[in-house]
Amino acid sequence: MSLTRRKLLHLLGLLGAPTVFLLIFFFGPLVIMLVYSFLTPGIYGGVDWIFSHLNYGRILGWADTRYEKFDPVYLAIFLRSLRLATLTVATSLIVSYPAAFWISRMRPGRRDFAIFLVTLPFFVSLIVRLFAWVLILRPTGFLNQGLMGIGLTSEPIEFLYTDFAVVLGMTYVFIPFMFLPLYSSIEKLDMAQLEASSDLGATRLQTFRKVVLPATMPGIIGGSIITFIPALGNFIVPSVLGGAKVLMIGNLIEQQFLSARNWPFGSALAMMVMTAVLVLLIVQLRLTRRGEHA
Amino acid sequence: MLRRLLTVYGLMFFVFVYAPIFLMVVYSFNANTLNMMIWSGFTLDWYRQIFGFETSITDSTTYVDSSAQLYAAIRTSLTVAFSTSILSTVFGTALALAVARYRFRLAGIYRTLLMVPMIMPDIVLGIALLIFFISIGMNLSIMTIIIGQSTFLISYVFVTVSARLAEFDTSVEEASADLGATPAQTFRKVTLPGIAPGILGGWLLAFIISMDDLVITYFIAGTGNTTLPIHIWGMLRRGIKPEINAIATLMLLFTLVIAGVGLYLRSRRQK
Amino acid sequence: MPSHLEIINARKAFRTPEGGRLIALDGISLRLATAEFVTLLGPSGCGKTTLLRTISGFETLDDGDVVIDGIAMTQTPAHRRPVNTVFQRYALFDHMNVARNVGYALEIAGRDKREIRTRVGEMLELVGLTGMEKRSISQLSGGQQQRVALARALAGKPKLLLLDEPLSALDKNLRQKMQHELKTIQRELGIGFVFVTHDQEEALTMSDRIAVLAHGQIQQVEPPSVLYQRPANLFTADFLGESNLLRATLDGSQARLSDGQTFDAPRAAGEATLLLRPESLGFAVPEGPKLSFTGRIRETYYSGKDHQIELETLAFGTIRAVIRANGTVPEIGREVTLHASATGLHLIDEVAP
Repeated sequence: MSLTRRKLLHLLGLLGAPTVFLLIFFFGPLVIMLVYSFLTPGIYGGVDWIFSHLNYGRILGWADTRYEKFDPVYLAIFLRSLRLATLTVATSLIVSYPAAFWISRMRPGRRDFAIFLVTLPFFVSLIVRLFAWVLILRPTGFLNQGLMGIGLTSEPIEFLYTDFAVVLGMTYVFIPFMFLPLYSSIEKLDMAQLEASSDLGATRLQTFRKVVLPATMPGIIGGSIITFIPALGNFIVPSVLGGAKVLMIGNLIEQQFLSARNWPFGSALAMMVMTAVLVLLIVQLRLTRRGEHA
Repeated sequence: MLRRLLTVYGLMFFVFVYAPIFLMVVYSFNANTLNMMIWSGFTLDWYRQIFGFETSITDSTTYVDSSAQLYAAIRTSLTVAFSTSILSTVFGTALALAVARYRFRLAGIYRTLLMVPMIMPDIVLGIALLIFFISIGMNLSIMTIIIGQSTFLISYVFVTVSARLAEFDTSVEEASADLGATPAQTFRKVTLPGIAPGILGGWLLAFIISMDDLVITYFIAGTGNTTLPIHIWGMLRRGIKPEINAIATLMLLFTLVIAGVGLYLRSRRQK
Repeated sequence: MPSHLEIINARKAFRTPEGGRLIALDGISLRLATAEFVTLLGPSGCGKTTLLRTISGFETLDDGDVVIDGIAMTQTPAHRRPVNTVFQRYALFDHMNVARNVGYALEIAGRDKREIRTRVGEMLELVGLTGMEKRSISQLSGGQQQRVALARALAGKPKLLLLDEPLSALDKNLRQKMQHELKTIQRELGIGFVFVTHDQEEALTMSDRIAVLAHGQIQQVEPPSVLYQRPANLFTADFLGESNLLRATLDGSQARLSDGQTFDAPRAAGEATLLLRPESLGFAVPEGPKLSFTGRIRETYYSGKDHQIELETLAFGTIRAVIRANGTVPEIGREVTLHASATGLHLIDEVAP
């Protein structure tokens, strides 16, 4: 029928250009990166089009040639990235959960304003926000001034360039990512359920464990994942607050591209990050599916 | 008791979120040129310096990055942000309309795949784009920045407009057809004004994220196309300087104005 | 009588999300005379809204025809049909003011501004919103929005107005007021109204004729009083108003209830159901032939203008009666006898399973 054919034309008109654009400029690059991760690096930068699995071997342990040698440091950095990202998730959760709970119980008008205040820093330049932490954490910074002022220490403590600084910085930068999913699941929580639970004899802790936590689990999982992903591949925060001491996988990838000029190896490292992200998303899918069945 | 504890905790949360920004703004007016961390009086010198006015700062204490470089970076950032946000808004809106209004088999797949650019770690997308542009022989330029940023900003617009479309009552479109409007008239007079807040919101979001994007732009900018975040990134890498406080404060002001305009427009719609 | 709208053997099925088929319209035929007010009445899911949407053109029929003023409209898209709709939740354009909403159809038709302004003024006067042109939609109350929706649908002078449960969002007082106004407006304009509702009282108050729908089929189409007093089947009897449905055995001249009481019923022998409306029962003994029911009062409900009584009888279970509030009402637990005149009783040729 002509009506449906015209509809089809409309549909193609809407979908056509963006689809082509994304196929070429989004999925195209990802495919090429995957291909690169299996190529041999050229001696003076660039690549030789020879298949090689040694880029992965350098990270995971089986490469043992003159140029391509396994070095446990790469794996160590990868594991540190996983650890710091996990710590960031945990810290964000501890920082955000009670705050989200508090805000969800405010009067509507005030509540909207509070949400606005939480999301506002997200719109402030990332580097600007990180820079503020440099001012606080450096040896002559506000934190040390404060600590020495009240006599807790006599010497400035080196906060910068530590795991602590990196986790703190990432927590700070990604707070909205954790807060918003948490808030939206806590907001849905029916406060009458809490009253019902305590009415039936549960202590506050029992109510939290048996009612609040399961009900807000989707928010916890969602927030954790979208905090973990950018934290894992981050290289800005470790560069600013971790310096040369706290390298993360992101720094390593950056080096491969901008100083070492070993693109295949850099691509292999990036594929490791992608794989970790993919595994995580599959786990989440499983978890939420199971949640729906339960 | 528990409630009071929660309140204290919540207030501390806001202190955590805002104290760093607040300190930065305050110290952008600090007159101490020797130690930027110690307050020694109020000055506007750092701002004067950014705008190229005369200052009382002696040459030895300025860490001159010429204002010209800063202006060039701002110009590049604005050019990129305008082009990118418009391109992504057009594409993102078209996709959102197609997925929401036509029941076609691939709609679900589109919805899922369009999430991918948003959850992709930005460094991965950055280097993938770099490899891609180099291997197809495209020179890194403003053009590559615009294309590269659009690949993930389309998704942000898509999500924003889709949300608006989902809450947009289709019976209004039916009412328009019922009153004699052709599909094209209905789209122009009812659908478009109805989802305009979503489109505007998506555009603003794309604009702000584009202005702030460092990682992806960092890899695909090439030399000579310094955006504002890359410029500041460079300044930071060469050492902490007081005028960064002032630049950061101005950027803060800029984003606040944009976010404020967005919120104002939204509240006017809702009235 | 010229037929204004004609629906011929309309069929429509939907695919359910589970993959099944839901038959919404199962061979519906209906004729509407010029300037007639017809109500489609039925429980939710009976197909009444689907039927309305096939008239307006938002749904296409699988089979059958929609004819308006003698022209088949089955393939005509919604925007070319000479009918307008008042939507359930009004579907007003909230980015336009009242005047632009009401003038929308004329604006689309390309009429000149002066004409539109005059017509909008007339329409607002008709619905009692004179001078509200510049208001924005969100400044209006629910009742006012309802009126704007009505004015908007009428402004383009449709040949037929469709109303999809337009009063369901209003509170009771306002709803009654609007019912009367709608009826008046319909009579003034002299165009046909097709009105969808699940509220039987609303249907009885407003309609020239009521079409009772269930399971995608029309059960009966009659003026309200006929429908109420002489329902064609058990569904209609039960759906419209309160009723006592008693099984009766017919022998050709007489009908016998299960407790042995008989009354004249000159019709074919067999099984049937006697319909006794609660208001036809009372304590007063009528003259002539009568039916009597003795039992214990189980419950009474006071509603202001009358008392409802539930009588527990041995032979029929619960019998409901409505007694005027100024009469005295025996207390719960007392044994009493209720009477009804046995002339002009209505029998339904159907028995409950």
